[in-house]
Amino acid sequence: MSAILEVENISKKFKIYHNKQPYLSLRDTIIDIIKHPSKVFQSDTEEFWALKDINFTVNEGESIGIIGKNGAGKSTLLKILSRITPPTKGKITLRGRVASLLEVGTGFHPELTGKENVYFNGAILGMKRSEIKRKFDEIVAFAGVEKFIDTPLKHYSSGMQLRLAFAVAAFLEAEILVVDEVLAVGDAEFQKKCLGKMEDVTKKEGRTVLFVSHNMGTIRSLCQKGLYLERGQTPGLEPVEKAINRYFDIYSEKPKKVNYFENNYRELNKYEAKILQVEVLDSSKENTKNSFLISEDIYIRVFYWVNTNQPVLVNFLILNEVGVKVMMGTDANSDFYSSKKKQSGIYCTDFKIPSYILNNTGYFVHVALDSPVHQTCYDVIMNAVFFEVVDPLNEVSLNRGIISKNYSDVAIWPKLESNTQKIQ
Amino acid sequence: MQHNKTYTITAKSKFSLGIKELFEYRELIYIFTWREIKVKYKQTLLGVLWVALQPVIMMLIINIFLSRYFKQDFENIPYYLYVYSGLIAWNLFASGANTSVNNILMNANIIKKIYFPRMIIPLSSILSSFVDYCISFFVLFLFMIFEDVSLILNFNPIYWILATMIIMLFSFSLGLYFSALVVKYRDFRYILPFFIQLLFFLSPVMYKIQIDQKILQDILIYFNPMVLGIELIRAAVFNVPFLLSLKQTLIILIILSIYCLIAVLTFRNTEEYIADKI
Repeated sequence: MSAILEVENISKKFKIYHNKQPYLSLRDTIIDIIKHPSKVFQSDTEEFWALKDINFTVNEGESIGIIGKNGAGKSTLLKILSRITPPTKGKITLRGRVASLLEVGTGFHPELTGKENVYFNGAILGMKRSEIKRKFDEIVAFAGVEKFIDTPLKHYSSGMQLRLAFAVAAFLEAEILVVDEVLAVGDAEFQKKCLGKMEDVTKKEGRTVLFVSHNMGTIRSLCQKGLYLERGQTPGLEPVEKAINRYFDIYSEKPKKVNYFENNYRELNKYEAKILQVEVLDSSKENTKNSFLISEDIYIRVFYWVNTNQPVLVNFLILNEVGVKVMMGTDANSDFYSSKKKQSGIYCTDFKIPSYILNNTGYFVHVALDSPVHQTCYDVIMNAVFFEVVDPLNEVSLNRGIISKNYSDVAIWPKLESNTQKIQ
Repeated sequence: MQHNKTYTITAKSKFSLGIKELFEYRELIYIFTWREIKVKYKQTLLGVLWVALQPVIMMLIINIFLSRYFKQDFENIPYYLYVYSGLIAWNLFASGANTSVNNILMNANIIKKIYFPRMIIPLSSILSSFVDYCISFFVLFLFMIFEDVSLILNFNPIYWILATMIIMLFSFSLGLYFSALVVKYRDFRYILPFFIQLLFFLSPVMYKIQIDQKILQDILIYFNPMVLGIELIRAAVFNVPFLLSLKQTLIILIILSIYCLIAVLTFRNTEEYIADKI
């Protein structure tokens, strides 16, 4: 096996402009210069290394899962690999064509027909026209939009658009495929189809795939090796299980408690409602923790700021490791929702998840403050906290029985009332 | 797999104008242009008709309201044809430069997601404006046939090609330069149309240049290649005398090449960081 991709000492530095967007307006710049002439030569920028000294080598036909928290540098790494943005230091050698699927359906235009969009999308992804022509029927069949291929895209459902987009991408002939979270959307059936196609690409066709996902189940099933990133650094390529373990390790450390009372009011007054802190607590409601026995009640506590006369609905969504939405919780009987209480201030809501409901696996919690009146969202924190439910053997045997297979991807496994009789 | 092309990605790529890479991506230039035209004609109710109508309406307005101010000798060419030919050339230049800048911003999400030589976007914008230009020329010929069939015989294709190339090159340079600027400062998006509007009055669209010039007007001729472009178009279509001397023409061409070089260098300099900033 020969190395198809060599990454040597790749680093990427970004400048953070304080209180500024990455692009500037000439007006603001001129006003700044007039207001603070002394500051012209001092930059109020801060340097930030999104990636630091990344080294790894990928052999032909390997599939690599790139994992890490949000902001760990995964997307930056993919962007450098697909030449969208240059590294600040280091060198990458690629022996083959690279196709990047950083988002499916890039460049889709609603006015153009399905067919026209396939040609355009294929072309920007690097396919030759003859290549698209040859594969056109396959692409359309895979997407299952044969009947609508000459209809403008604006008449497609979002599911159809997505299927078409993925289909184009799936038939790329590049030796190295860079894929970012494409499977996170779409209906379950199509997701399965996509996963199947990805497996074909990696296992049967022997192409090299670099795959970013938050879905550890997918990573586990598609990739042999993992690259774990944390704050732009990596311990290097390692067996996928080891990388996944590192990923879960970061969640098991005690979350540091943010002192939300230090948030000054002037800062908060800018918001109508804002989530300040999310904690997972045990039944004493005093200790935060991240690992629960299946027999324990779990409390999710949300601290938030409210400064509006409109109803505010505090809610959370729990996803398991494989990305399945397991349950949702809303605080519909709160005073904010019925909008009786209108005083601005910091509030706290506790949700109780009873024992013996969640299965033994890891769970991510998204928290949001919604406005039921305007159908909008005041604030949302994705992956606000992580906790896991463990089920030591004796608990299993006591409460749910031992099953021969690992069913950790089952969403819930409550203790049901069951009744068994001898009938014959 | 040994024959696979090897790419190297490093911090600062070797400096080049990127012509070779553009050639490798020629199919993408074509498909971007094709999409631009398709979308433009699909989005407007009248489609092609609108493209043809726009300069005609402009021409009518100038003819009705402004013609009395330009009492010049137009070599027996009806004033409306004289203005219309200038307007077509002007539109190629103005829409080429304007759409370049708009398209850089409108395609930001493609730029952030996929690599390709970014110069393709301004380039395809100019090419799609060229299609409109050809349609307008077709209309001009209809007018000429309607006016006097023998006018057609004066058409000089070599002049026409030269003029079109000069106009497109200037349009491309300006569009490219402002595309590079707009990535950093969004205001340039609004400065460009204003600048082009200003240039409109400094170009011989509604009038004919006078040759016994003072220095100021001389400078305007040298630094605005549209003067050369429009004069050449008229020489091509109507066989009117070409008013610039060979020396003047050469100087304008040199200045135009310098513009183009500055634009390409500026753009190439920004190109690497477009995805981070846009």
